[in-house]
This record gives sequence, structure tokens and C-alpha cells, in this order.
Amino acid sequence: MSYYFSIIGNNDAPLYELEIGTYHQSGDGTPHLPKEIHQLEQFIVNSSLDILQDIQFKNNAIFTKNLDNFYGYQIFSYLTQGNAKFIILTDLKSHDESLRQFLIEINELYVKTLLNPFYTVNNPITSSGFDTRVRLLARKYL
Amino acid sequence: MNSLVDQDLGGSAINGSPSRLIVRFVQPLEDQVAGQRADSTKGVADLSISTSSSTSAVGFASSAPVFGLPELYDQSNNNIQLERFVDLVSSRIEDTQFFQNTIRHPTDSFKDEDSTDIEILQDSIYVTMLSKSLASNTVVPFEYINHPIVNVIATTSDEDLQIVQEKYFACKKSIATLPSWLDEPHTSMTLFLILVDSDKPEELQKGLHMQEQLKLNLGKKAVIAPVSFNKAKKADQAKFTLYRSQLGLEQQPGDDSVEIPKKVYDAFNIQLQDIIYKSMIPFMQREIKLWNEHTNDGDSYSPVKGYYSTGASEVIIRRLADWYFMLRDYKNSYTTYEMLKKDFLSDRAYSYLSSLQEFMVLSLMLGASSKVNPLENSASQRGKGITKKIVTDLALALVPSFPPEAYYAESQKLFKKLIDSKLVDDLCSGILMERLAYIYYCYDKPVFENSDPPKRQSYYEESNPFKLHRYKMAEFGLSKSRKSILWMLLACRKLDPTVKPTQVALMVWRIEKDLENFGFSSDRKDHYELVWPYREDSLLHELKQALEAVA
Amino acid sequence: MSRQLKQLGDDIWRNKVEKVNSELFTLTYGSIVAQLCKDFNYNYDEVNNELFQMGYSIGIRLIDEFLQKTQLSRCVNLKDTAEIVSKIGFKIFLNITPTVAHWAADYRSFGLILTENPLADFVELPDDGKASKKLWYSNILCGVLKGCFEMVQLDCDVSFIQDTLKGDDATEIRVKLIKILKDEIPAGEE
Repeated sequence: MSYYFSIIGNNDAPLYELEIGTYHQSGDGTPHLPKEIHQLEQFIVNSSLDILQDIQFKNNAIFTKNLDNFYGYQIFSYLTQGNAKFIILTDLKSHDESLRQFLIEINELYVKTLLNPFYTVNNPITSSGFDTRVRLLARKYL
Repeated sequence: MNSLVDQDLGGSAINGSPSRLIVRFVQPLEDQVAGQRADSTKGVADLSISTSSSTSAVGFASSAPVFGLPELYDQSNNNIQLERFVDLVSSRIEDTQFFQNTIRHPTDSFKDEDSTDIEILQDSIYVTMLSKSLASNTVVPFEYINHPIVNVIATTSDEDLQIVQEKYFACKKSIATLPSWLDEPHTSMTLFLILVDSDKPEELQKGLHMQEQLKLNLGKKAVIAPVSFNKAKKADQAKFTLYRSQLGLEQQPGDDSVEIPKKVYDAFNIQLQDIIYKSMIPFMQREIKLWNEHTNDGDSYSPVKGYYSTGASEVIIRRLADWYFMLRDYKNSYTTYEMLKKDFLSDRAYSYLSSLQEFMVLSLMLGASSKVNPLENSASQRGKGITKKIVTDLALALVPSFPPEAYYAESQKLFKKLIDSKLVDDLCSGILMERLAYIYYCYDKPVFENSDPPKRQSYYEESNPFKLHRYKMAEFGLSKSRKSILWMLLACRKLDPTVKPTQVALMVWRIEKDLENFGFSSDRKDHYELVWPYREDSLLHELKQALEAVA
Repeated sequence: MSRQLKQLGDDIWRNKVEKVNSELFTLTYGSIVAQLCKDFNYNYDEVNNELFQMGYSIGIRLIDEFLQKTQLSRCVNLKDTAEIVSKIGFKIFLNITPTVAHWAADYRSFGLILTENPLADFVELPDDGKASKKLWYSNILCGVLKGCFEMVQLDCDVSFIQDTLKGDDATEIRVKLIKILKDEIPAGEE
């Protein structure tokens, strides 16, 4: 049971990525994504943007569960007001609410990152502090 | 002398007759069925069911599924042919300037070269696969299109009558060993073709005598075909060339062709038309009348065997409908097919049902369309019945004003289903995946080109690069090219760069081009977030590495 | 004395000062620093210097505003000065009160410990390996102090010695008195 989490800038390029396993069901947070998925994860996420773009102005939802799927992997998305996207690819089922909470808190972190004068929009987020905080949230919710 | 099964000779009809005959030589039926069976046991052992009318024992593995007669789907043969075709196309593509300059050795000066040629070549692969899998001459129990109608035994007038008769019995015997779902001899007509050398008058006598004897002894009709070899030699030097490979004859190295004087060829052609119009069609019409009058209750559907036995009324009705179809009576064939639908559905004979639907659709589109005009008030007809739905959907897809998204969505679903069903081998699923990628690619492309309205110039003299990019709302969200990229990658993986390097190279080139449209390119090393497709752990990188190793 | 000063600072903060949205302030300062870094091609010594100069220019003007609002008279000693800087100066302009600490034995230098720093909210220094060693993000404050001190005849060295942004435990400005300037008549004026 693993997650691949990616923050996509409004230029549709990945700004931050994390592969992490679940902490539920006695998981220790180690991701177990098979090679076929690992090799393609960014492509899968990238392709789901086509679907997201199609629906994003058709309703007001920010969080979309089951945006797309790919051979047993579900894709969840969270759209920020600045048109950045948080995408989660996972093989874990029925975990929607905590995923939503996770993404809401990720948004807070992301906004704080945007306020950092040294961060430029759509640049990769390389801050180790950010990474640590995301991992903490993952531990809490995923 | 082979029994000439399902054999129609001669190219186009003579004297400008509108009905064009297509001649294809196929293997003798017994060989064909035996081949189908062998293929299936090679491929999926646990699915194989051995059927033979002599033992009528049905031997199958304990786990044999209810549904499946793999011997019916001569897949492996198709695969080999497709494999060859793809290799042929690949080598043609490799020879093109475009491939050499743009893909193999990319240089800037050739960047915008025309890729139409290779696109046509590339598209031919899918077309070939489609036609091979649709137009298979595999003999199947659920339709009668490839079943024999007339059994022609050809002989010459100087042959001994005894031998001819023995030949007939041998032939009859071999037919009797065919699977029980196949038309038994009594439903097909046996016809003797006696070739007479018209240069020798006594031969004609012999031929007539043989014709009479055959009628008396066996009760079978014989046709006399006079052929003048002398005249042909002298008068007409035009030759007609046939190819051994087409004839199904064993190939000899170096020389594939067999030449026949045109006169002789024409003579055969006339004879063939005679057989079709004077013997076969009347025979079919007689039989149709007979089946129409009475249908008996034979064996019903056996889910274990996966087919109806020949005696079952469904089979007879189906054969009746197929024969109507072959005689181009599409209205009758449609109504007859219609009768069977419920039965097949309640028997869960799905292979029968799907084939039935197919032919219903064809009947409708070819001739019975006065009942349903697909182009008229189609909206109200949609969803009423599956057949009508298919017809209307097919026709609507051709109407330019209709938004094609619905069809793309539908075809996507079906393609995915087909790929996931794993019915086909890697090459085929690779091609299917590539096709699926193409469907995604088509999404925001207009079906028919129309000229773009002139773009309004911005009144700003220079654009501010820091401003957020504004989307064109009319097109926003329509494109599915990123999906297309994903499926091309999957197709590449399926096709395997070491096995089909040219195909993969071509697709990788396309993937990179598409990625560039999104601003992702290996040239953007300064922007870490824009080179993600080329990371070392990505599939694209792996494919490119493999291609380099091959080249 | 100390309590009176605190009271005075609070009063002025509450009644006499125009306020501005703190995030606007923070982000404005942040973008100035970020832009300077870019302009000086991430040469942080130069950035520090530039910030200091900017602060200095602010400081030599700001002192008048300060004196006008506070109506304070001349300080008796540096201790006085330190208290006023912390409890009134920082209070009325930034609404913070740094702790005065780490006095030198000769009472000629002291530290201002900023427990909070409104300039540095949301900030994470660039992780280029250099910034966390060299850049004094809030160096403008030193310039301001320097400018103010100079205008009241105190020639001081003002500099950061630690900053939580760099991973230090505290943020501390060190002020060291060099000499007290004499009232000099500007050249050309008798």
C-alpha cells in the first residue's frame, strides 16, 4: 500500500514529489510501488491532468476523488486557487477523508512556501523543512 | 487430386458483368480445421477441446472453461503474418529520408521534414491487423460464411471411372471426420468437374459417358468443361499469372508464379460462373426453401462444448440467414437473424450472439436499411435496440457536425477492454495501445479542418513573462495528448525496443515531440522541473537507452 | 524607569502610529531582499552591505520621526539608550521589544535579542550552501540603528551576530559604541 504524491505547478511541471508507504495497517511508511508504476508515476499523474483540466471549471470542487485510475491505482487531486495541483496516486482503497485532510494541510504548507521571498512560483520546492513537514503529515494521515 | 473446398476460381467476371468474383485459394477444409486445432493446443493447452465426430468424445482438462473454443480463433497464424508485416513496414520506414534524418540522426536542418509517408506506413499496420482479425477465413461454428457450400471434385475425361468414384468416397470419408459443428456433407453439394480436351472429339464422348455414370452410380451432378489447349497455345500468347503462395501450393524457391494461358484461364472462369449461377445458387435456393418449411428440434446448445450441433434448429436458421446474406437478400437475412437473438441470449451462447449482431448490422447497412435509415432521426432511435444503436452510432460518427468526444470515449473504453482481456499477444496489444494513444491524440483535433478565425492582436506591445498564462477557454480541457503520451509509452514497453526497435523509435520520437509542446524537453537542464520525463528512473529514459543499445 | 519607558512605548504605538498590514510589510521586505540577491548574483556580502546602506538611509531620517513622536531628551548613558531603543524604538516601529542582554564588562557594548522578527516571517534562506553562512537577512535593521545612533552623536558598530534563520538559537544584534561624536558645526556654517 503506497502513495506517490506530487505537487504540480500551474505550468503543469512537477515541483515536489514524494513516494511514501502507508502508516496504517502496521505499515512503516516504506513505499512499495512496483517498478512498472515507479517508472511511469509522473507520466500517469501528468496524463490525469488532462482529465482534471476537463472538469476543473465544470464544478466547484477543489478535492476530487477517483479523478482517474490506472490498473488498480486511484488518482486523487486537489486544486489550489492559483491552479497548482496536488495529486496522489495510490493503490489504497477507501481512504478518502484522510486523504482530503492531508491535502488541505498540504495546501497550508504550500501557501507558506509561496510566501517565502526566496521561492519563485513554479520552481521546484527543495526546502528540507517542507519535506520534513510533508512527511509528518503523511505519517499522520496516510 | 484435392477436393476443392470453398474454391472460387478466376478474377473478375467477364463481359463487364457487375458481380465481381473474388477468388481466393484456401487449404482443404480438413487441413484447415486440423491446423486450427493444432494451433490452439500449442497456445492455450488448458482451453483446448478436442472434438471429432468419429469418437464424439469431448476431452477437456478439468478446469476447462465453459466458454472457449480457441481452435476457432486462428490467432497464432494471424500473429505470424502480422509480425511479418510489421517487420516489412519497419524496414520500409527505416529506408525513408525522414527516418534517417529526423529520428536516427537528428539534425536541426531536417527538423520540419514531412512525415506523411511514414505516417501512412505506420497506419497500415493497424489497418492490416484489423482486417486480418476481422476478415479471418477461420472456420467457426457460429456462422456459415466460411463453410463449404459446394464440393467440387475435378477430374479429366480420360480418368478411370473407378478411381474417380474412389476419390469421391475418400473425400466423403475425410469430411465425415470433421468436427460435429461443421456442416456435414449432406448440407453441402458435391459436384464433379470433368475437364475435356476439346481438341480430341473422342474425349468429349468419354466425358459425357462419365457424367452419365456418375449420375447413375452416385446420384451426383457432373459438369463438363471443354478446354482447348492447342488453340490456346497458338492463338493467344497472353498469359495469366497465378502465384503459388496464393494458391496455397507449396512454394518452390525462386519461382513463385505459375503461368496459365489466358484462354484457358477464361475458360475456367466461365465454367466457374456457370457453376455458381447454374448449380450453386439454385442449390442454395432449394435448400433455403426446404429449411424454411420445416425446422426440427435437434440438440440444443451445449455450454461445455461451446457450440450447437448441426441438427439444432438454431443452426439451421442461422445457416438459412447466412445463405440469404450470401445471396444478397439482406432483408430476409436481417429478419431471420432477428429470430435467433433471443435463443442465443437465453442459451448464453455469446460467441454466436456477437457474430449474429455483427451480421445484423451488416445486413442493415447493406440492404435492409429501408427499415432503419441510419442518417434520419437517429436521436430518437438511439438506445432502442443494440443493433440499431450500433448502426446509428456508426453512421453518426460520420456526420461532421456531431461532436466526436462521445465516440472517442466509447472507443477508448472498448480498446482498454480489449487490451485488458489479454486475448492477443504482445505485438497486437502494443498496436492496440498505440491506437488508443491515437484516439486520445484526436480529442481536440477537428474531424474536418476548418480555417481558424484570425486571432485578435493584444494591445500590449510586449507581453509580461511573469503574468499567469491565460488559457483559451474554448479549447481548455479538450486535449488528451498527455493521455496519449502515456499510452504510447505503454505501447513501447509492450512492443519492446529490442524486438521492434523501429516502431519504438518512431513512437519515442513522437512522445518527445508531444512533450516539447508542453514545455518539457531534455534541453531544459536549467529547469529541473521541466526535464522530469528524462529522469534516469523513468520509462522514457529506459526506452531511449535500449534503443541506443540496439542501434 | 524601565516601566515608564514601556508605558510610553505602548502609548505611542497605540495612539500615534499609522499601522500597515504586517504581511504586506513582510512580503515587501522579502521581495526587496530576494531581488537584491538576484541583482548581486547571490554575492551575500554585497547584499548585506546594500541592506545596511538602505537601513542607514532610513535611519538618518527616521530619528526625526522618533524624536518628534517621543519628545525624549538626551540619554544619560548607553544603558539608557539601549532601553529606549528596545522598548520605544522597536516598539513603535515594529511592535516588538527585543531583550537587552549580554552587556560587555565596560558597558560599551550590548546585545539586542529579537525573540520575534516580523521581517523574517515565512522566510527560508536559499539552500545554496552559502546563504545560511553569509546572508544577514534582516541586516537593514543594523543600518537603521547605525543611522539613528549617528544622528544622536553616537558612533556605533551595529551588526548581527546570530540569526534563527541560519539555524542559530536566537537572533541577536550587537551594538558597540566606538565614540561619542562632538557637536560639530557643518562645514561652511559659522
